[in-house]
Amino acid sequence: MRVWSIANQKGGVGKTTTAITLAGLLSMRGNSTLVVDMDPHGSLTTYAGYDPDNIEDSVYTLFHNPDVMIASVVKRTKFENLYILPASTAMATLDRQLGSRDGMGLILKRTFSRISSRFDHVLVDCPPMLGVLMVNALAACDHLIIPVQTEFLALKGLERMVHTLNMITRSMKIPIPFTIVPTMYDRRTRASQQSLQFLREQYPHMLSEALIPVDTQFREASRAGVPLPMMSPDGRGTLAYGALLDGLVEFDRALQYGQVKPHIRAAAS
Amino acid sequence: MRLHEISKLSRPVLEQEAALTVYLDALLQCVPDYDVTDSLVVEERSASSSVDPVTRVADVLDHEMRASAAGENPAVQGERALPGWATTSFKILLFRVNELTLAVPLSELNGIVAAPETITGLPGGEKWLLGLMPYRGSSVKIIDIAYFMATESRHLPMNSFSAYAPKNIVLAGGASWGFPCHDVLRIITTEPHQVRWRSDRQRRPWLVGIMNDPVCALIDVQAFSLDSMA
Repeated sequence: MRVWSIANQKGGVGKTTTAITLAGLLSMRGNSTLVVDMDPHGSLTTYAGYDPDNIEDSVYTLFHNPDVMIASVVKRTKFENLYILPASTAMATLDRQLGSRDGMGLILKRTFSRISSRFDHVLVDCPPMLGVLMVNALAACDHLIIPVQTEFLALKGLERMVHTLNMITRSMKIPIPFTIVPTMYDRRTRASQQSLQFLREQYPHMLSEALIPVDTQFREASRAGVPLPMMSPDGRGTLAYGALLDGLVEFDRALQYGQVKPHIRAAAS
Repeated sequence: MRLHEISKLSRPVLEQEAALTVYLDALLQCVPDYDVTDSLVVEERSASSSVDPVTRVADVLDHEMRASAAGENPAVQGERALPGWATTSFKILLFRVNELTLAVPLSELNGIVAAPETITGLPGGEKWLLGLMPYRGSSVKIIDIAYFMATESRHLPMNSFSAYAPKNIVLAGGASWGFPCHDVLRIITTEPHQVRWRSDRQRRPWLVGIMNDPVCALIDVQAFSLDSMA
């Protein structure tokens, strides 16, 4: 089982879109895929047809009872091979309740070790703020995906994210490989082009070759509650995420077989 | 120094970087689950005194087991010696003592009988021995299983047969002893890999592992017998 977390400390950069679209593609390719919604806003949960304000078992349950039967927390979606561990609004209180307890950053990692034979891929959608939920998602992942909107304010958010990653790497003493994914790219705008150029210069080894374009179909897919690849298999956005997925899988395989050392794409410790 | 210790001393953390480092170090500290979750459980329990004591014990046992597993070498885990009955798939009987579900390997049992209304008490006997029950012309020692489930600090107030009010007696050890239960649930077939086996059984040698589905303590009757009847 491979765990990919999708995080950025800036909101609105395409984290949830990236999670659901990659998960849709993975499940369509026959992989048993679990998406985990770590954001109390519950966008991914809503996307999957559940109500984060009115859900019995969620990530919140898991944090309060790490031994809970996973089958009672993981929900089916209406799509084959695609499951969700949903969010609930109450997760917003977890930092206050658990944030000062030692070891609470490793709950998700332990949970995943219990379900490693059940799923091929787990994709974790992170909240945009640093806290116990994000730390859990980073500590549990084999590979971190950082979507970055190609505009200047988002670049600042990326800097902060890489800094956080550096600190977590220091605390865990294990490098976390990461890939930066430029999103909402519009080649007609100067801002997009300049941002991409900046990313290429600053993060040459961590940048995905695939660019995710601005595509109104993402919004339509979200409204319909269907991952874009299932709604529009040949759409521009689907093809871009398909190329991203190919690159991630290839890199991940190289990482697993030791052909790439994790620190090549990991934040310097 | 931990974050809460810093705040207790009222020393403001001037450097934001240091504050973050302290926060992350604490969150990512590899502490045994026992320490982490037990404190939560205790907090919840103090809010509700109606939580069944046997249920508490189930938590404690599981945490204790995971605490011992946390420190073990993964390489050793695979080589751990399993009981003879667990080398291939095996059948277990699930039964309930109050809200605690326990499991015993079927091959180690000698029968299940209806519990009598009373048994013969043994004044001055071992604390774990509830008394004697007649069975096919001989006496069966009835063991207070809850006594063994309890930790030293959390003994259960169930040291008499009448307090148990059991429905059945599960017989083992050639029907020379048995333990009372409130419900016989079912028999299931399980695989060795479906059990989290304990590596260190110096304490509670009869607790051989924890099953995940259903969540229950798996008891090695033989070890339990040797431990308790010696």
